Amino acid sequence: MKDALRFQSVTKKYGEFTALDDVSIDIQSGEFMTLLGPSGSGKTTMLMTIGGFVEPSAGQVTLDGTEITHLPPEKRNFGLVFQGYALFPHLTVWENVFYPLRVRGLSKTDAEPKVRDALELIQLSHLAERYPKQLSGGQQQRVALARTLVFSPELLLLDEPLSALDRALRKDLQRELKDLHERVGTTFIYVTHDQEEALSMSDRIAILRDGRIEQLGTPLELYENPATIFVANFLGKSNFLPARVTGGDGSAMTYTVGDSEFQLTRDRVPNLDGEISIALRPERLSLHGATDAAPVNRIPGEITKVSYYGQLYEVIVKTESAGNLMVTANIGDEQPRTGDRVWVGWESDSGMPLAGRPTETDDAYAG
Amino acid sequence: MPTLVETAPAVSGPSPSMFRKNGAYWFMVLLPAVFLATLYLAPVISVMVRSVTEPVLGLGNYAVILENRAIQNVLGKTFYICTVTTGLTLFFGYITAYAMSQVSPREQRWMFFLVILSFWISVLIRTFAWIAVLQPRGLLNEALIWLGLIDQPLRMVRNDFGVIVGMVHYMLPYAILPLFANMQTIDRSLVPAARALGASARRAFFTVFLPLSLPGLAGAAILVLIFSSGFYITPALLGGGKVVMVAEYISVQMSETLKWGLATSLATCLMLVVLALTIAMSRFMDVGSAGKSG
Repeated sequence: MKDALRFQSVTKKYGEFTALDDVSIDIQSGEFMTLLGPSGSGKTTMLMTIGGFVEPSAGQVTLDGTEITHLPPEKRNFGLVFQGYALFPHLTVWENVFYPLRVRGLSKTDAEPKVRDALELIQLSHLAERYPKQLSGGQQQRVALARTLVFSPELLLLDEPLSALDRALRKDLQRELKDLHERVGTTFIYVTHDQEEALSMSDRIAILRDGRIEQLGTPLELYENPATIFVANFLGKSNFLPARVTGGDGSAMTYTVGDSEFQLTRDRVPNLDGEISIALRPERLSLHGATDAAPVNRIPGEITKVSYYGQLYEVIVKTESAGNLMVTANIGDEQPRTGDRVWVGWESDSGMPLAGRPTETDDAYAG
Repeated sequence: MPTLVETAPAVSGPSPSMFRKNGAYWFMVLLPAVFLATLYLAPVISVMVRSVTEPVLGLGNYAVILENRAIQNVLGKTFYICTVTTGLTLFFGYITAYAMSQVSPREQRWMFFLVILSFWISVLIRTFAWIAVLQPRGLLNEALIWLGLIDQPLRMVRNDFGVIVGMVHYMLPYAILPLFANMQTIDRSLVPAARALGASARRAFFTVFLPLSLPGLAGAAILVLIFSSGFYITPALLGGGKVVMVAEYISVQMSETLKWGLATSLATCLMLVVLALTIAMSRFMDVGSAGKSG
């Protein structure tokens, strides 16, 4: 696959504040790339740099080998979908979709078939004569999409396009967007702070923090192999065991939490020593009533809270050496009760060793 | 959550006691009503009545307005000055309001302050200040001569130019504030959206921003037109008797030639024009606030 867009050491400073700090990334043609991060992480600055609204203080942006760092937005032929849709309120749906063709010099008659196709793509042909105010939020969002797709942009940039919609509608539009991406085959660059949205839609995710890319990878890679505590915390929920490395090689590790020793065997184990954290997903932990049924890695504790979420329980177990651990248990397992003494266990291939211990800044945006 | 449900009706609307029509309520309404009727409505009606009764009963005064050449000239001059003033005020006001809508909040506060500042200075002082600046031996002429740009002082007062300068200066805040208020309602992402869709900065302005600011422009235009049609001090002083607008003409008929019938009929005409413009403005303002288009 060829690279559609490349960032080379792009930095953007606003006075003393560094919005983008030496960011390099290759986005491939046809890819659904998500820029995920808390507010202030630089994801919107990055998108606006791609769109041509923000000029980098240093570095280069190239499209298919051609430098576009200083090209004005209207010369880029990129589609940009704004958070608030940015439909023109004085124009009808039809005129809104016609607008990009109009500024490209097409007459109404020449544009007619293209506008019609775009409106059919989003199934809103019957609302062509309405004004944006007369449409629901979801419909407005679809018109905004049609308006950007009508001129076949080389890239489609989406700035938190679903954040203004309610949860149920957001789910529908997520599916629709993903479907649209597959049908039109355009590169999508999608900005969001919603980790679920990022996980379910993206080919790849770039996690941003303080103007830097913290980690880049497929949703599965990021979820299963987070590189830092921040990523493990931001993408899904994690328990962090305060651990100390006691030994190991490239594929195995032994570590202690409190006085007990635990085993870790993975394809590759990062070379760490001293004080580390073991990130464990709640679904990787299991509850056991008796010692013999539990895996070798286990910690005793007492259930302090049980929450019921339909298809699963979320259980908080208070342990002496590892603090409170969150465990998800399937319905149908023995029902956990507050006050039960249990073993929390995990297989030796579970757990991701990460440098350091969680700090407040890692935690600030969790959830 | 039963407590929420129970309290909901109580907080959902204003307390009914607020609208109980007791004695105090009517007194509060009556007081300003009486005030307006005696000090505002009665004189206005008296003016209208005089216009058809002085010196004799009938529409004679209105016939004079339609026939008299001097009055026609005054009306024509008034119309001309008002139109040019409105045009220039809108032009400069639009630029200022646009700039205000684009700058940072901090700069915006300063610009606001400077615009409002002019309200603090009386129109009389401002008019005399303009005379000091524009007169033949005034600041501007002296400066231009000193710079060697001109040999003879330019005539900038006691003519249309002086009157228009003074009026535009006075009217600018009245245009800037409604224009700015309207521009604040325009979604800031629309122009970037237009540019992302392929429009140049100029094109995006003319196809998106300008059409959306039209309600504000229309409102400001009518407001300035209404105010400037009744201008008295500025044309009287900066025009120096050479530029006579309708308000000054009415004043002369009232206090010097004592043709009260003619003065009141002209005043009535002026009032009707202003009334018509006000109605037009309220319609534009409604369109603006409802955000309807087409």
